Amino acid sequence: MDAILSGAELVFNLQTLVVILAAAAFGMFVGAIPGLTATMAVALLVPVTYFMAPIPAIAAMVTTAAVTIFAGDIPGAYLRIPGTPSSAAYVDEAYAFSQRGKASECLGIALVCSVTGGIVGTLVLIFVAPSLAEFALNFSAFEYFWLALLGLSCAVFISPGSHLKAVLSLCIGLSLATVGLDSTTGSPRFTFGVTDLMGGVNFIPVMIGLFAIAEVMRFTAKPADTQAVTVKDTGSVFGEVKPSLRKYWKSVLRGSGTGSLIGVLPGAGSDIAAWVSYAVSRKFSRTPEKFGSGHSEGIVETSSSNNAAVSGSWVPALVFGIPGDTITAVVIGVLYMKGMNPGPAIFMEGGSMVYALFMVFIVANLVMLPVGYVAIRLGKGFVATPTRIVMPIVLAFCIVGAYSINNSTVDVMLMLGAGVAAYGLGRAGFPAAPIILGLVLGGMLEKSFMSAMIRSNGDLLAFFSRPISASLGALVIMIWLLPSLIRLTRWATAPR
Amino acid sequence: MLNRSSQTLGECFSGGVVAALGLFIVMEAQGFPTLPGQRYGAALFPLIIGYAMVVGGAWLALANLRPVMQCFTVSRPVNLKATALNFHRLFLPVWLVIGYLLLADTLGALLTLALLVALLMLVSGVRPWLALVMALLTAAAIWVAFVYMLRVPLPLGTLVNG
Repeated sequence: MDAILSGAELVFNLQTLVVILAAAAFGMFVGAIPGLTATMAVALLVPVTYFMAPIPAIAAMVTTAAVTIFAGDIPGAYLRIPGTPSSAAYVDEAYAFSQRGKASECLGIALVCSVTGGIVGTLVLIFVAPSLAEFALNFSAFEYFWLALLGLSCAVFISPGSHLKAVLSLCIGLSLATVGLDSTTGSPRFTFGVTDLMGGVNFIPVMIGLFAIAEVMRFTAKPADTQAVTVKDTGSVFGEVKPSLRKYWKSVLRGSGTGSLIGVLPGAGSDIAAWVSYAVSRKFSRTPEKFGSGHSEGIVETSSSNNAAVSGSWVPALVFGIPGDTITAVVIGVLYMKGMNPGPAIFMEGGSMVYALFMVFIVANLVMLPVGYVAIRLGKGFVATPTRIVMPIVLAFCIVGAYSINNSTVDVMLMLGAGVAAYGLGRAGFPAAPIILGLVLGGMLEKSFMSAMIRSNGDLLAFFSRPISASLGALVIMIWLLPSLIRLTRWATAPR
Repeated sequence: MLNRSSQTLGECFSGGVVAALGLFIVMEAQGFPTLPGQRYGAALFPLIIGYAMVVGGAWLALANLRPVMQCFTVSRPVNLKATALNFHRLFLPVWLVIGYLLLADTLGALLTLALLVALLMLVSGVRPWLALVMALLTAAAIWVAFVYMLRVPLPLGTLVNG
């Protein structure tokens, strides 16, 4: 009981609550502007959280991530442009709804369902994480090696486009993680005599470069036209919420469940959850013919799902230190920076920190209601903000954000290098997410690999000697072989 | 068609760069020390990644080599002026960040950032008065958030400090 009260004290104080509110407003603004992603919002926020205590810092990022995903629905409803990739699945549905003059109603439904989905995902985290953590206490270096590899493999094979390019992106991230002093021998690697690189590549400037500078370059290369809002909006925000929830409460539960489950899977994020839930909703609907014409059933299930996935993705992130998606990868990096190493020990030691974390997740989702209401009311103004005004400001904040971590211009150069590389790689179809996942997880992967090698005296068969380790290893090998097997089966069964 | 060929060229080039990077990692890692009494050490992990990059990068580059060669053999009129303009537009943020790194110590971070924001807005077609107002507001917001609240020692500049 004392731990719960101490946890509440960490969350329900003026500083943390102001941080949560400010992060929600920031997330709402970024999410509502087409072209700015949730990852970019979190990336821009990290330098600021660097100066905060652990709980407000995590609260800021959790709130921003959750709110940005909802806010992505706003330009979807007004302009038919998804604010974030998570809103893409039902953007046509939302726009068709809005064309009947009911943009506010549509967004009101999405808001309430997002909050519900987020809270269900948090409940999954609260009830599943401690049991998983207890189970994970038996894990050795072998299991952690396979778990890290499983997370990275899922990120590679779930990402759209060429798997080869995703693997190469991952290798770039992993190679960046090897820079600095080697943890087993203590010798410097790839530092070229630069003292600033002895501690490794600072992930914050790299992340800002990957997700913000590359975006600014894309904008200057091809500036987007400002879109005018043409839909008329005459409704009230919560007008359709009650009837929709009464009619489709099963969809809310199913969407929240599906989203939480997909979020828990390493590598699968809220956008995949949204696509899956939209398809499931249509499949099980009694009126599938209404989908695409502004039917609230799809919006209810999908908006519950994408926010549930955001909450669900914290389970592998906090229990094993394996990020579920790019946002959790960033947060894991921040947790390490704050000395709060994610892993089962966090849950087993209990204490106020865990309860504070759980409360932060709930408050972050609840705060979406008032902030979201205001955002829907101001929605037209938000979406009309031209990117040609936003992007130069983003560039200025990128520079100061990268500099502020170590007060070093080397970090600004690192950010610039990462941004140019990300732009070039992006043009060639290389995904950016595996780079950051490789950079964050590379240290853990190598450490567990080397520990396992030393323990087994270099015997690779030892990686399969324990039951859990062998199962995880088999799963990883299956994931890597599956695409080739599918191709082989198709080739063998193709008519000649 | 042009997009597809530029994508192929990009894939070929990126594959080559990744393979070269992998080769560099492999060569550099040869000199890393091993653990006492073992054949492996600090080089093992970078070597695995390096070899993967060499094989994967070379595969990607070679797979796109033929279409790229075909693109080069087909002569196409190139609008040099438009290409140069696009190149400068694309790299404008890069020049601006380099400009910041060069000028911040002299002009001060806030003035340099305000200039950077104003310049990028003007190039993007924002009206001059709006660009100026937004640049000043951005500088003010950065001062409040980073200098005043977070105590980040941004360079004040020799012009201000004397």
